[in-house]
Amino acid sequence: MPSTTKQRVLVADDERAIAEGLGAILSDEGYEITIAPDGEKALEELAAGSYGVALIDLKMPKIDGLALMNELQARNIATECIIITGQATIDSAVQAMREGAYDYIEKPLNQEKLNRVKALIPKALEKYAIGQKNRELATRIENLTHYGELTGESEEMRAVYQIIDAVAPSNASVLILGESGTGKELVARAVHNKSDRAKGPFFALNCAALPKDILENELFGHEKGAFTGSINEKAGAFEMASGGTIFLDEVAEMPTDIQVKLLRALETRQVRRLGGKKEISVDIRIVAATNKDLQKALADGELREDLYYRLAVVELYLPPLRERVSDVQLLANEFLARFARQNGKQLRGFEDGAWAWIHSYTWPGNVRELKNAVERAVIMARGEIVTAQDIMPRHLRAAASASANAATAAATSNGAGTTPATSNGQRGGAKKTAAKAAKGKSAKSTKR
Amino acid sequence: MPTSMPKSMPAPGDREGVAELKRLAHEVRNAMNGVAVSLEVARSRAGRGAAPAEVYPFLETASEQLELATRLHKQYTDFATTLATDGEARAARRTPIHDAPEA
Repeated sequence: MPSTTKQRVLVADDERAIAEGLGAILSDEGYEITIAPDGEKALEELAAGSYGVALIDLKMPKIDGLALMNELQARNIATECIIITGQATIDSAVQAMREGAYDYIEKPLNQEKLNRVKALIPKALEKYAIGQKNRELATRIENLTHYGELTGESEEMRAVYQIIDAVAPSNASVLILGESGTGKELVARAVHNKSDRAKGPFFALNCAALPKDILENELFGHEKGAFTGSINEKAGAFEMASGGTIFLDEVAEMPTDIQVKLLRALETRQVRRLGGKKEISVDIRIVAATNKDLQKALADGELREDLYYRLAVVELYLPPLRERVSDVQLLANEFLARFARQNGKQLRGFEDGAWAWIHSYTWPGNVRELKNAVERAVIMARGEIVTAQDIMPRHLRAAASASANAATAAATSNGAGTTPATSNGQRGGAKKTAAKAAKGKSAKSTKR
Repeated sequence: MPTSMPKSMPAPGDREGVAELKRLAHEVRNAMNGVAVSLEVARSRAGRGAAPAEVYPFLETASEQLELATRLHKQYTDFATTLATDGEARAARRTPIHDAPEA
């Protein structure tokens, strides 16, 4: 029985007398009641507020009971649905049960049925409360290990999340420093999504991927006739991303004369299209990234110092995977689940040998390399478990296999094992494990 | 296809008539459900000594719904009778001459 805070129940029925009567019965039981005269209103109410239970008539105008339930599921609106149905629609009630309704009440609504409604509501509310707790717990766990599209629960990543939280609401430029494959664009997106500009555009541009003229054109746009072949005017990234965020990846690769124009745009918040005379005001936030050694780039004159100070109002260092090894397992499992789903494979996980290799490898290509390795492993896996052979890159597989053979030969001749150097990127201490894994797998392969 | 129809059954061509009968029956049931629910509110509230103002509106609604049910029921029976009479007439028209009763 509800005590201090009244629990909310929605009654959706187009028959006014039934809806008001049911509402009064449940209001007398201590619930806070809202009445919706059709499915559309019911959906609006359920989407706007948290209702533990919805008493839904199956036949309603605009959206019927079944369609309403489907819509609730599609929109991830949690509520326990009790369906009220006439005898003619009993099949639909059974269907509603299959689709997750808590229960159904068949008309006519005599005293016995109304007592059943009264008895069902607290049970349905209890189920809703348990579901709510589970959802809260899942969210808390999710928040412990994830931040937007970023995955990681290590101290290093928590520090990154804290910086994003602090800097996102401001308009300050952010310079993300990190090796290739660490997820710099995901951080930029997180900054954008957590900011007041989240509803505005996010425009990403890789400054190293485009030749100078094209990059300039992409950034600032051009007027009709600005150069041969420019038959139409074109807005640049600054204009298109106005009101939002522009992400300039590999900014230190940008030619220095474009850096000058970029600096001017950042200072005046105005751009001029190529071949244009008019200054166009833009409301932009810049997030830039580089994987270069900035001190060297500044010393070599590759990156202008004044631009650096303008971009690096907040500097955010994204650690390489080898500096956050506690995230490797979480990431590997997440990629495994994702790619298994995408490839329609039933995979239970990684075998011990595969884990040993995953933990021993230093992942110079960072998260991107791990992601690609797991995707390849999922595709290559023949059983329900990903083996070391599945996940190792081909060149390392051959090296591991050779070292395992050498170790076996040495052990046979000397009676003791030695561990020859295997390959790049592997942690010394774990070479034996990886060699063992490779050896174990070759033995198994021979048996096939 | 039978050559004659039972007196109470509409002819196969009376699909619209049957649909109308179903609709009326549904409306009657709805009104009766309105009566039942309203009476249950009034009964339980009166039982715990609620103020008349909390009880009367539901007795009023029960009364309105009962009147509505009576009207709808009359429509139903009138329509069913018409449909049955039409059905008989149609059935008679369809009866082959050699099956017709001797005059």
